Amino acid sequence: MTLTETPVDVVAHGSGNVPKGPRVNPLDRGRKRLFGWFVAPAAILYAAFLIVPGLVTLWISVNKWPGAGPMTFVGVGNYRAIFKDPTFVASFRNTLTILFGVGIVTFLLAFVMMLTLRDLRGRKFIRMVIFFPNIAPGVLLAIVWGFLFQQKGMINQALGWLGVAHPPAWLAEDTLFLVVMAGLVWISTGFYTTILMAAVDRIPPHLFEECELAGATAFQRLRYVILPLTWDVIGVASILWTISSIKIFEFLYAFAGGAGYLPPLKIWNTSIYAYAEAFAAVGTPRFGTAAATSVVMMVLVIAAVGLLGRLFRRDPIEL
Amino acid sequence: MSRPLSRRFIIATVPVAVASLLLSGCGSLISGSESKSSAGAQSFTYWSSWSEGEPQQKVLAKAIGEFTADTGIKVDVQWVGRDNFKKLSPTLNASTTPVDLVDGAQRNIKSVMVDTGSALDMGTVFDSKVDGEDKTVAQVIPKRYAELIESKGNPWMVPYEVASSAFWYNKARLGDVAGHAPETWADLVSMLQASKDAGRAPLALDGDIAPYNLYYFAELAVRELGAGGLNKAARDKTGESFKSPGMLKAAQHVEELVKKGFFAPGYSGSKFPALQQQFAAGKADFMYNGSWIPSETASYLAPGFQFGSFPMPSTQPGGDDSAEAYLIGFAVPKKAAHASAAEKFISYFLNKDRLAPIATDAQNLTPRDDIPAPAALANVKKALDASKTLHGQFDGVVDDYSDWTTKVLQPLDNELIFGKRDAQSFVDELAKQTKDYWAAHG
Repeated sequence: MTLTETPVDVVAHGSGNVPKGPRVNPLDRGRKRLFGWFVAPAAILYAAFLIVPGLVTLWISVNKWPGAGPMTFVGVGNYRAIFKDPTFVASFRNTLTILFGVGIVTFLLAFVMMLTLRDLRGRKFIRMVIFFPNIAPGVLLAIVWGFLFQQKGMINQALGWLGVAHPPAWLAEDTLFLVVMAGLVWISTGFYTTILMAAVDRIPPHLFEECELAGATAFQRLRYVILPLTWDVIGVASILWTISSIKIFEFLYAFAGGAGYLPPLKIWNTSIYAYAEAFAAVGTPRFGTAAATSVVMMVLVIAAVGLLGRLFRRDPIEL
Repeated sequence: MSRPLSRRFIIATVPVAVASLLLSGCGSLISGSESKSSAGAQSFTYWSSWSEGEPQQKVLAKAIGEFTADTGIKVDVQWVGRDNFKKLSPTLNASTTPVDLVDGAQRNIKSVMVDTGSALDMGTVFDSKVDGEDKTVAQVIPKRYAELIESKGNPWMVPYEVASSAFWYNKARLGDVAGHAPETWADLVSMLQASKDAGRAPLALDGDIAPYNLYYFAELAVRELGAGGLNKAARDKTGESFKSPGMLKAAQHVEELVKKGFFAPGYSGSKFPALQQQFAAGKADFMYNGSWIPSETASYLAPGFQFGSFPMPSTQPGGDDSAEAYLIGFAVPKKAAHASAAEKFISYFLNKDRLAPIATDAQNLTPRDDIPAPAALANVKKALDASKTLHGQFDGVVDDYSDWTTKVLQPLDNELIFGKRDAQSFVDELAKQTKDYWAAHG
């Protein structure tokens, strides 16, 4: 008898023939014990560094606490306070704008680039170039992006050569968020293009040959071959984007903050808001509202990931 | 009925319990052997707000070396930089803090340590003798500064540097300003107009730094309403104080600067330090900013640049002449394990000869009147000494109501200074949003 034929496996596979008082194979029991010992260190670390801090954050979020001294239990008071705070509401709106606005543009661009680069010579080099912003530190990218859009930066110089006498002040508050979003598209597109290209690369070439023989148009090839066969990867990529976009911090902070000051309120997202609440940047630390913001962000991530998981769930396709 | 603990339960819980005990015990393991005010401590830990290489860091590092040589007390100094209070904050709740001494701007000490009840009363340091001198710390720190850092009559920090703000210019290029600094608002406006008429940019301002933008309205509000006027309005829960004629006048002065085109082109979209660099290169004539400007711009100043400065002029005859002052200095956490050793260092550093390099090397003002100001800051020092009253940075609103300052005042002030809002709608909206703010925040 092999290990896979044990009654435990029968139960796991949903058979109705479950014998009463299943006898557990001693070998299987030993394997389970061994498994436990191997998993324990990781489980302890997981508990110590993820579950415990998560629970602590949850606890702080229902307390008023300046970071020192006793906590005062306020129940949902912190949640009520942040949703009443126009700054939080604006920050939350910016977070959603980045999640959807930047996300949609990034994925569309990544898809176009993937399709364009697929048959191009030197695609590996181009892929390396567009992937570069993901290797460089966010702070460096923020500085570079800032230089481009300075009043006398490269963008305005180029506009000057094109005859624009009064180029816009890109970093003024009206357009600042737009420039930030463009920067995020610039950083992210290469990463998602690379992921999509890898997904397309695994499609057997004979499928494309068959498309050609059948006289399929480019749209039909996209509709019936590329999209179905990369659907799972698009799903994973969108989950990755959701998680990372809600947590964006360093680019915003380094791009628009200066001389140790916070960025202008108009580009705050919930990460900057939580940071500002937690630390002295806006006065006496308010760890309670900062923690409540983190919990809201966590819930948003879980909900969005759950939704995307459902949207992209699909039976595997036999190739 | 009690049940024996299962082996699985023990395996699952014991490592977690051991890890928790180790983690929670770290603090007491490190400093448990010393009592909080242990007088004989041979070392203490210091988290400084300066980073390695900054002029102040070099001055402090030298003094620390001498202190250890003279007293045998070792200083475990970490040049944490401006984030030191963010790192300190979570530790203040421990039974003993890992830090015995910290330094930084008074607003950081106040918000992180004083407002949370975590700052040690510095009264004993003020009463102690300055190392190597006959005077006490209280005798060498002028009362006008000490009053800014008291809570119920007790000081919560010991300053070693004073900052203020002024209009800055290059004496080598605009020498005539030195003898005829504007004394009234009209003088200032005509001087800026002359600069503009000569085809130059009158005022440099990096608009992405909201506090730099705020200097204008805040200082003008102080001139119109007197020291404490803006601060008082900030705590008026009805918001009505912002509708006072003085407040409107202050906003109108800012509006005038905007409408007359005195700010250098592109200031609203400028990214720090672009326009500060333009000022240092001589492409803008004046800049209103802090007393750190001479040292901050030192590396990119035009050849021959000589700093001159003058304060925000009075807006009416015999009007307010108070000077802005905010302090940088030391504080000791209440739960510091080696507080007395840290306090000893404070009175050691306050010695005239050891403190003087803050002026000579770091090019900043010290709180000691017997230490001459650096040449570039001579006029700032003169204004500080001459004024009967001092007011905090932005009339103290950033210290007392910094959340309101960040969320209400600064965004509206940005709209005023970028010309998107006129003075009347600025004060009206300020009144409305202040009322809403206090309604939401109690």
